Amino acid sequence: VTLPNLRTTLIVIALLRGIWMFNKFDSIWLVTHGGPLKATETLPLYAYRLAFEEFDFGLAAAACTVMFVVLLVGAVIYFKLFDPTKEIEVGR
Amino acid sequence: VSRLQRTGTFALLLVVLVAVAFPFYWMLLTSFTPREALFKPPFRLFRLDFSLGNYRELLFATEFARYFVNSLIAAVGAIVLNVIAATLAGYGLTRFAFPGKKTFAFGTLFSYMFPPMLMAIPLYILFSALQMRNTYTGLILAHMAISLPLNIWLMWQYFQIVPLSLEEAAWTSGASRLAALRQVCLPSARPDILSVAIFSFALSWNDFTFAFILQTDRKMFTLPVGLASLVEQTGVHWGMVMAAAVLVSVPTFLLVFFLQRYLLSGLRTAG
Repeated sequence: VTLPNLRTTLIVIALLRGIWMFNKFDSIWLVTHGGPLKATETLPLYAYRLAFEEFDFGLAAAACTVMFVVLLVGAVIYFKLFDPTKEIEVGR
Repeated sequence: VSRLQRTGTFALLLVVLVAVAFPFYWMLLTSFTPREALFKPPFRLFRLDFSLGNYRELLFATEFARYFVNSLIAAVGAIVLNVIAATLAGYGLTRFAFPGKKTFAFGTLFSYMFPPMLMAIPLYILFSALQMRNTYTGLILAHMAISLPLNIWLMWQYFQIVPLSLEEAAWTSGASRLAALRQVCLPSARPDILSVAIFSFALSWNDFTFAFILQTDRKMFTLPVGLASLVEQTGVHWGMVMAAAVLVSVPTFLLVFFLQRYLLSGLRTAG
């Protein structure tokens, strides 16, 4: 009985965690530096490497934009599930 | 059945507790083990040869103290600015009517989802131009960019439950808006302000990405970055690294221990 009521909350949590993990940098960098041979290199690590090891800020910015698009998709689903205006009065 | 269930629940909780607590215990144990003994068998879960050698070396032979001070400055700065900004923003957003509030609400929650890396690279370019890399101001601003959205959200929710009539009473006795805010609303806002402060502290204290990218000067390293550089620099002197990890977690433990009541109420409002 409890679980169906929690469904929306659970999906929202899973979604947020998913987005954050998708964009995680610190733990991956500290544990593996993206290695061995880029096997654990995720998008944020790739962007970092482009910017600060190859100094190609343009390409790094492009990688960031791709991350942003993914984030945007996540946000659209998020706001479909969870309407922020329910928790605060917006007025108009 | 209920008894069996209860035993089962306890067993499960025990397993989780051990899984969570063991790394902390191991960190503590390693930090007190003398360097020579660390990789020498037998490996024990309990040992009696306690030594403070790792701590002595950490405090006097490395720049750990400096990183600690840097982290503290960044955290305190982030707390103060976050509390001020979030309180004023929350107040303004509830008490004044203006167009675009809905967009603002969406934007606030959206920017809360932003990953640090997405902001760190543009900030690096921006701060390079402004000569704000390797400054406390820059780091504090970067940390605020991550923590402020949720803080505004918290205070926004808080001010909605403060009745306007309380403030109106203060106005009729001649108080200005700011004075009314300070003397009428804020005293009862203590739990919310504390959760704002705790959240700002936690983000700033634990942040690796921003500090790693923006603070390139060794003298400006914060604890997480300093700790990572200790690992690389010392050829992994694990005892010392663990001693550092213990000292890093002490402020967090103290904070959580003394403020857990407020922390829980803050979590409840944050959903």
